Amino acid sequence: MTAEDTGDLRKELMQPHPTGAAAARKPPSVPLAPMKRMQARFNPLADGMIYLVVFLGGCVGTGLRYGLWLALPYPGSDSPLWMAFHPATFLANMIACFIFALLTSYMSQAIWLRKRVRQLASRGVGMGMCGGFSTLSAMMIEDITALHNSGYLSFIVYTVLSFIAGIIVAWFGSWLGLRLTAVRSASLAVADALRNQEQPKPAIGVRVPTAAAPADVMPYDDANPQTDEIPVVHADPLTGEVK
Amino acid sequence: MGELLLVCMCGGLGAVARFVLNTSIQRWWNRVFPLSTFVINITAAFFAGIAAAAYYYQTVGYFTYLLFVAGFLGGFSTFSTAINEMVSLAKGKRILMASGYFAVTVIIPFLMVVLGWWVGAMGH
Repeated sequence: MTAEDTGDLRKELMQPHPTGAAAARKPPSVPLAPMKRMQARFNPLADGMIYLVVFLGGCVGTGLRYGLWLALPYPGSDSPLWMAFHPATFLANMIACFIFALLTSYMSQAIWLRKRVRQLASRGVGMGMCGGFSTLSAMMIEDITALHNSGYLSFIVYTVLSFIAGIIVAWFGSWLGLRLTAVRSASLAVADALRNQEQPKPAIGVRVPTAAAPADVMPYDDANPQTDEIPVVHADPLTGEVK
Repeated sequence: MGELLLVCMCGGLGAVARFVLNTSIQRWWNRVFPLSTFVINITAAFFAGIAAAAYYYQTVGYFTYLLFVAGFLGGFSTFSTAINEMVSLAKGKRILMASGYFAVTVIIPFLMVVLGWWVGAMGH
């Protein structure tokens, strides 16, 4: 057997090989046991900690937006182009878009953080705080108020400007998040590759064929290896009884 | 100060309501289109229209309007999630769906505000 053959076989063995019902194009989904629906690890709706962080995040986000409204009051412009433009809402939406994009892309890469930490951070800061900070309903009310005062052009300007600027800011945020994690992800990937190169790990329960050992060396340290083979027993051919 | 705290609490309640609705919708909706955020935003826009009409016709006072619109609906509706869903759809080479989502996120909530205004102004 050549080395190349072993490599291919090894690669083949490392792949998952579903059998039976799991190999179907649409594997059947097994419903959870009723009591497991009540457990936080299977059901986010049963996780009290998430409710708490979302509530606190929502409080902080709303407080920030309200504070921004008080700090940057609507200038009350009469110009048909800028009548609908509310600087506080616009700024809050842009900041929230940026933080949300940055957080989402950072958390999707940051495997060095614990899963629970990532989950709580993206729920509390992403869903709670950024969601509370940004608002679509207030923007729509500002739009309809402008329409009511016949500022048709400003309605279009404000809406389109908000969405386009939001998309640009979010794109930049997600790029920045990937950039911040890139160095660490790359070094982790290199370490992983090196570790794999030293010791390839076959799937559990699979014995990878190795190059033939020299004849004078015992192939295994363990004199009595545990294998999956069925032990040979000598049964009585007539009764089937094992002696 | 108490006013600010109350608005914040309402925002927190809005965020929790969004979390519950979002998770419940995502449990049975398994397609790519971000239905949960869309449903949340159009619901919020409808209620915002009702609230704006109620305040305009002086059915409710300013503080109630502030609590509901700046607090609860502000925490409930979300601009950042919608924008980020558009960006991630576009990054995943689903340009058509991203632009469709963009269009409905601009148009439908606006129509819902108009509808809410109409409902809220019915008795006047």
